[in-house]
Amino acid sequence: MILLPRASARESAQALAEKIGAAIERRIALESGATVSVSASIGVAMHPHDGEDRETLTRTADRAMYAAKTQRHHPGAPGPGRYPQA
Amino acid sequence: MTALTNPSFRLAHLHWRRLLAAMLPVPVIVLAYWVANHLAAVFEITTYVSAAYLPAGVTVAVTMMLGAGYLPVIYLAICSMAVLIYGLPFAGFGYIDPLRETLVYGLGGLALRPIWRHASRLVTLKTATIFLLVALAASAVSALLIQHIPPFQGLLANGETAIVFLGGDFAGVVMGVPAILMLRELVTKIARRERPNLSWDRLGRDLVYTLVATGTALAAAWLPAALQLDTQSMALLIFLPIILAGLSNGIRIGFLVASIACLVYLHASVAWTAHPIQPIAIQMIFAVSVAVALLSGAAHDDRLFAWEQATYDLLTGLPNRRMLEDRLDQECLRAERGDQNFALLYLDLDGFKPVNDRFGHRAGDQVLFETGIRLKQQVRASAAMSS
Repeated sequence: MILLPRASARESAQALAEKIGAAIERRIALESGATVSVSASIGVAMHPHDGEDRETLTRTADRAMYAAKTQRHHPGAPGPGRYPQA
Repeated sequence: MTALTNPSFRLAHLHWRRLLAAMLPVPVIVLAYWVANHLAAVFEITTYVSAAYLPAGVTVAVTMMLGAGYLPVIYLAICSMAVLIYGLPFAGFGYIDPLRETLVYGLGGLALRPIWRHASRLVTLKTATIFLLVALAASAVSALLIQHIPPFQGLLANGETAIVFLGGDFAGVVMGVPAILMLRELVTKIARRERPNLSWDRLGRDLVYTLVATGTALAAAWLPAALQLDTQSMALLIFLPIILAGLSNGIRIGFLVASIACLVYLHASVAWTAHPIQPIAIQMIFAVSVAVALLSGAAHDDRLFAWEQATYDLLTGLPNRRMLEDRLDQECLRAERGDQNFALLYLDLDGFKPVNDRFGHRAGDQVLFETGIRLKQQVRASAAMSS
């Protein structure tokens, strides 16, 4: 859960989400010598567009995250950007 | 490629590295004793008040960190230091007295070794107390032994000289060991290229405590001289700013403030007081100042640790969710007042569970730790994150 103050545009938040996603996908070297990789599903909620209080915002971000996850596994499903507002 | 996968080559490779790693501390130990010796020459302020007591501290620190295997190296280093200070061939110093120092303080260091090896945090109120008790016990044993060892046998006819040795070594251990540990911490931080966690607010407070302690030390030295009193009891005053510095800013600042206050007091009282300064008084001021700094600093650090544990996820170093929810409420209120908007991002790791299942919890912990670092690299400082 990341809170980004003074973010006016959804695009900048999405861009950050993509940067974080790319950083996390880099392979991780374990102590044992093996390397593994994980990836991130990120959902974005904007204030006040997606809600003005904590509950609505967290719910929207949570849904957007699961939408991102679903799209990752089933391409073609509604993505985080297109997800209907709560 | 074949050479790399050949097991005998790899074994030889490992062997050399181990040998190098084992030899590396030797010049460091000799250098530490050499520095202690030079400090002794510089700070030989009055008889029996000198940094010549530092070898006791170096011995405790080295055996604590490296173990009993380094006792012969320590013995050789103390012998060479005796040669450097007192001239060849040991000026009646013999080989026995360096043995006393090595054994007594080596055992003290070995008693502290479990803390070094197993404690998750080195300094807590408990470990600070154990350290002070071990330092006192080793100094006491050393002072008892010293009366039966050739170079000092004749000198130590009266009890006062023995107690001066006790106080000197105690001060040397109590000041030397934390100084060495802090130096080591600093070197590791620089080697790992960690960015220092500085804040102006914090630095300002550190500076205030240092200035107050310096002022108190100057006043404690000047007042008895001005009033022509033969007393060093005014020095008790410097404990107050040291306790405050330790309690509010932690063990490192407490220790620095204590060292500065003691050195200022020592130099000022030597310069201003007409009466000869009592060595035992100076030694006790040094030792108790640092002890007070360690204990109050450890009390602060214990509290800070408990707070961090309650607030941060220990593995990723990120604040916990409740802390971020509070921040989210604040941002909502601020946005209502017309300030700028904000974004909320939710992140979930995919593929984490398979790593955990296949490579074990330790690998899973490593992945979480690494992810926390990468997140912190990507997100600017004003943003808030939680686990």
